[in-house]
Amino acid sequence: MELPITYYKKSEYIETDTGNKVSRQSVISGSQNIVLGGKTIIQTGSMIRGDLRRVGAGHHAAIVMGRYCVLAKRAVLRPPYKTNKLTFSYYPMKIGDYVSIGEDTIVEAASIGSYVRIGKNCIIGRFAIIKDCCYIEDNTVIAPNSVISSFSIVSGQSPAKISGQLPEGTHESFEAYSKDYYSKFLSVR
Amino acid sequence: MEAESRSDDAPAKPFYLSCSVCFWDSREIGWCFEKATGLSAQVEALKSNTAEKEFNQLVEHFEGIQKSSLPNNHFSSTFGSLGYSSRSLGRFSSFGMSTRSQLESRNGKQSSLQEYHAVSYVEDSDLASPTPNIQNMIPTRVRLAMKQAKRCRKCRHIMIKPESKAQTIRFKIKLVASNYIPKITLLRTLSDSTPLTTAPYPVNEPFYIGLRFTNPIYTIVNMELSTPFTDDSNPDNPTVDLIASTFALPPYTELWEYEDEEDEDLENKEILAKANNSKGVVEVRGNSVSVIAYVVAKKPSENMILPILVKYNHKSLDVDLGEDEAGDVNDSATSDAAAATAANAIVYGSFWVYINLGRVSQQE
Repeated sequence: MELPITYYKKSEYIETDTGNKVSRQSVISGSQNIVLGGKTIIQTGSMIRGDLRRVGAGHHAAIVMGRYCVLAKRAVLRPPYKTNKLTFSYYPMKIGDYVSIGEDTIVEAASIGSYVRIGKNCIIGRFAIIKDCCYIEDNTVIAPNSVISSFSIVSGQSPAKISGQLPEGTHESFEAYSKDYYSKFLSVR
Repeated sequence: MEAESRSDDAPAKPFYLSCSVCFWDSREIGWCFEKATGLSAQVEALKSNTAEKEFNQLVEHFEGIQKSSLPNNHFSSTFGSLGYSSRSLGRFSSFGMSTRSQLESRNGKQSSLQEYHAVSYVEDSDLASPTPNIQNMIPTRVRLAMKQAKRCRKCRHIMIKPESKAQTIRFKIKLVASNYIPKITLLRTLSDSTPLTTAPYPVNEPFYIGLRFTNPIYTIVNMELSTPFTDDSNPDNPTVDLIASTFALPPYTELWEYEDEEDEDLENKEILAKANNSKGVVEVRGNSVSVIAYVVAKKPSENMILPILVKYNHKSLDVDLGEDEAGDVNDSATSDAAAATAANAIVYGSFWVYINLGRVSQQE
């Protein structure tokens, strides 16, 4: 199926020089700690928490996102936290290129590789590590500290299990999907 | 939800409601109180205090046993002289250490050793424990993920060979079908005026769908589509009328090659114009051709599947590719290996594609 063209009001989104499109109705806290790689879309109602503190004066847990990422409506990116030797701290989060995160999904992963698609209504637990080329189906709950290897299809709740393998040509198709999505995310006045 | 008031560090309105199970508290919705609401006491009263009841029942049960066993306890006299209180020994003997002879001596009073029946035993453990299904959470073995090389079943040619480094997702050899066979996408809209229907589709009412075929290779690909025969034996299958059953896909051209037209290009243009003059071919753009098909769904369903047999042929690109493709495409793929060795040989291939159109619903 061909992707539909998504139209948005020009006033709803801010477009940066590098092609990032960020909704005005999204919550971006601590923007100085958030890096968007370019051509990334942050949709309405989503939230990125760059304001959460690391241990040590003046430090914040950074969120780094790659190119051609999509954070769909009402999705939440929040750095993972833990208490280590009696000190509570947040830790940085890294997301690769061509990653799309579905609606209402909450991500607290430590790192997500490139060419990853996460469905709607998912919860990615704290310090989860998702490697390159993965597909997380809708309504999946990934347990904290889990590691998802490359080319995995993950589904299910409490906790999610690897339900299949992706073919070798996945990164081309995911890359094409992300680029197609960006090119069809158009503004109308 | 459990409600209780708790004092907070903030001095202004120190009381709020909080749930001890899910850790929600009423500050989230701005409910803070200067005084305790007393709600927790009310909730406490509502809760049947099962643990306390159970304890009282147990005490009663064992007291009954103790009473009945004390008077004719053999041990009490013997051990009593050693300094143990007869009461504590009595407990021992009645709870766990009753000997066979003891039981026999108390023939009539065995009923006092009846099994204890819990009053407030709840079968449903899901309600009590904050983590349900804990039995299912036993550690499970996780299969070791490994990289695999793949060969063609027919010609034993290596199709996939990953790089040995664990972290990379690159391949030393990667021959996948999507690089050699046309890509098929379902269209949403068309540039011309033909109305296309998208899901949900009507029942017993003809509608048009659009299919775009995109050529990934550098030569013209001749296409031939066909659908399975529909008759009375399978009346539920949708009928498909492919208006353009044969057409040709223009070659894939790198962006920088569009500028310089060669003789070959002109020749190609003629071939394409001839092949794509059918009414069903609605759009030829770049290396892709869009065709329309006329579909009638017979019954409502969640997923209407449209089977189409795709046959294609094109000039051999080079010997290696011809062979790879034939093996990789599908079980039904065929290629003449002998013919492929000759220059300008024609490569034939075919595969079935099952297009999931989506929901078909009865419309009022």
